[in-house]
Amino acid sequence: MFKKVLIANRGEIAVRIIRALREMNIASVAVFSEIDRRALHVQMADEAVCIGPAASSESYLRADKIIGAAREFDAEAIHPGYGFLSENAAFPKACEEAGIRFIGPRWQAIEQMGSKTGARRVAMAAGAPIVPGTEQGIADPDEAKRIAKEIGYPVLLKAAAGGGGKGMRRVDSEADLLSAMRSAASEAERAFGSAEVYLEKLIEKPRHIEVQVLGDEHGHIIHLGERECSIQRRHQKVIEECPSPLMRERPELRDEIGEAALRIARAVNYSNAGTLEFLADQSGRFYFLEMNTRLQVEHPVTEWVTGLDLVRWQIRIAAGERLSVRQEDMRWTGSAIECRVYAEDPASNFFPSPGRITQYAEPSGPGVRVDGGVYAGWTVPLEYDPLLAKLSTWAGTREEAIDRMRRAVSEYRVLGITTNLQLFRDVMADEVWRRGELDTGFLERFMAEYAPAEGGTRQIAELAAKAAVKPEAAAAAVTGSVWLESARRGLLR
Amino acid sequence: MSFEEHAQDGRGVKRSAERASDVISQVAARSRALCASVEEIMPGLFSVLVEGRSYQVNVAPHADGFEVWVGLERYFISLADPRDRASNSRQGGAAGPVELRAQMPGKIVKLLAAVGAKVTAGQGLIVVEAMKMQNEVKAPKEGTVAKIHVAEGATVAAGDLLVVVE
Repeated sequence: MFKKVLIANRGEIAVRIIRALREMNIASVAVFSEIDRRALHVQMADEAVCIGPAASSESYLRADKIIGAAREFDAEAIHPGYGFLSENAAFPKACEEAGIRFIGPRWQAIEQMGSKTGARRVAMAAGAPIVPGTEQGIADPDEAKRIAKEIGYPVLLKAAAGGGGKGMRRVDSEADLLSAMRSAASEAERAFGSAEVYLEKLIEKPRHIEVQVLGDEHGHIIHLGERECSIQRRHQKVIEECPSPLMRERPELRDEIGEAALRIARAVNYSNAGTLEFLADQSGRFYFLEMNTRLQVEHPVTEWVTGLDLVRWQIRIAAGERLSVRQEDMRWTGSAIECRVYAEDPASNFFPSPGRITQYAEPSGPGVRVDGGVYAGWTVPLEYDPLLAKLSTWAGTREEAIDRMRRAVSEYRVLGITTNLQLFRDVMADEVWRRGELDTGFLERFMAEYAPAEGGTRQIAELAAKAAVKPEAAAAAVTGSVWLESARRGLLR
Repeated sequence: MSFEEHAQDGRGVKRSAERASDVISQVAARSRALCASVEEIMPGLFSVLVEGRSYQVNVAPHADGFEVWVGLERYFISLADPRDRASNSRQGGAAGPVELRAQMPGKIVKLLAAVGAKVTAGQGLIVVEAMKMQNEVKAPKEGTVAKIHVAEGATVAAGDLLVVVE
């Protein structure tokens, strides 16, 4: 086993990895940018080294500096975390050349799965379902008609050159196809300078379901079940869970989607931890989207339900150990939910809200886990992702896990900056969410009608503010009958 | 009234039980009414009891007032004019040392009193400039300037301790 590992990351994931290393009696080396000198991961690591200015391009994305630091500190391996260099095939390649183990898949697998189209080809060859459609642009109306009929309406026309909804058209029947093609093409031409459009099957009310895989470097690979991540804002996950509520109606789905994931992973001789993302329709038909060749942000929900420590296994596998868990040994117990606590304001379109945290208290108690990277007094920098912590809960059933999340959120205190904690409290109480009727449009619909209710405790707040300024003034206010009278009159009820 | 006196026969027990429950509910009603208190558990964390209801309240300085959380409800409480509060507490006649804090981020323009100076209630102690306005921090009561925590020209954050009057 390694004696020392360098973590090429920051924030909560760096802290998560340091914790695993400490449990394994492996020394940890943190790297940090100039603005992260006071960051939690720097405080917690055994050793730490500054690798450059705040801009990630000058620090956390500098493979040369990170590998140099690993050499200087005699680290035998590097854990990339997620983001930054984790999915850049050049980084593990450079590690290999420097004689340092990369804790992740082989760089060849990262390269193969790195582009969406490449991954799609691998999946097709492996016989896994992908969203049916044309690979290239399509101009001939008769061919478009034939293909649309083949994959079935509704279909989606998309601009080959771009994204962001421009040049995108939903087509429900053949009668509308030609006019939609013309308008999509001209819109694409205006937006991207290319009129090329392609056809894809439209998945209505899609659910985001992904499969965790774990393989060793001796050819043994298993899947650890699914996670549902349909609660998203701006295509970024906010709430994740395991198992997916879809599995209640279709329990056989886990094996099916897990097998599909393994076929794709085996096709690229995948090792270490990886995640295959799928879209599923409401009936449970699923289509491969892309692969994340790294540890996933939301890995804790899988850890809760499977009892496996994914980071620990990543390190053991990178050190050459065999994965001792067989597919038939896998058990999924209970239900886990994760909320990503961000420094952002849901009321202003989830705009980031960096700044200094003046007070901070994490929840605890039964079935609660916090993967945090911040503390009271820490200034959340503008330069990086505003993820503060991941709050996850586990319980025997999904309903209890939701109740537990509500309770845990109510114990969480972050002062000084705006967070999305209140939103989580209100989503947990939502009937549609509780029924598990999810799709990737859930949060957008929820936000359209959302107004956080004021709890009627303003007078309590005013009282405490008075006490903060002057304890004796507050005492007077409390015993003074005027205040108490107005409190009785209903605000406190 | 003694409960034991009535506990000799069945009827007595019943009657005393009725009375006991009356007494308990009376006491309970009274203690609910009286039980209104604020305890500072640690800086910024308060426990508030009102009519038997318990609230955990977090308070942090924010802009010209406080960011306050009562459970998961967040409030921004702006404070009244500091001069008003100074005069209020003058009437209240607070005993012991009184800490004066910056209400909002600003700059110390001038110190009007030195440590050890005898001051009268309402006397200006420090001139603070915030948001292009100058404000005098005034003595909340008659006493002595025990400590000055800032120097002229210094910048202060909301909630920073400025001066202590004893």
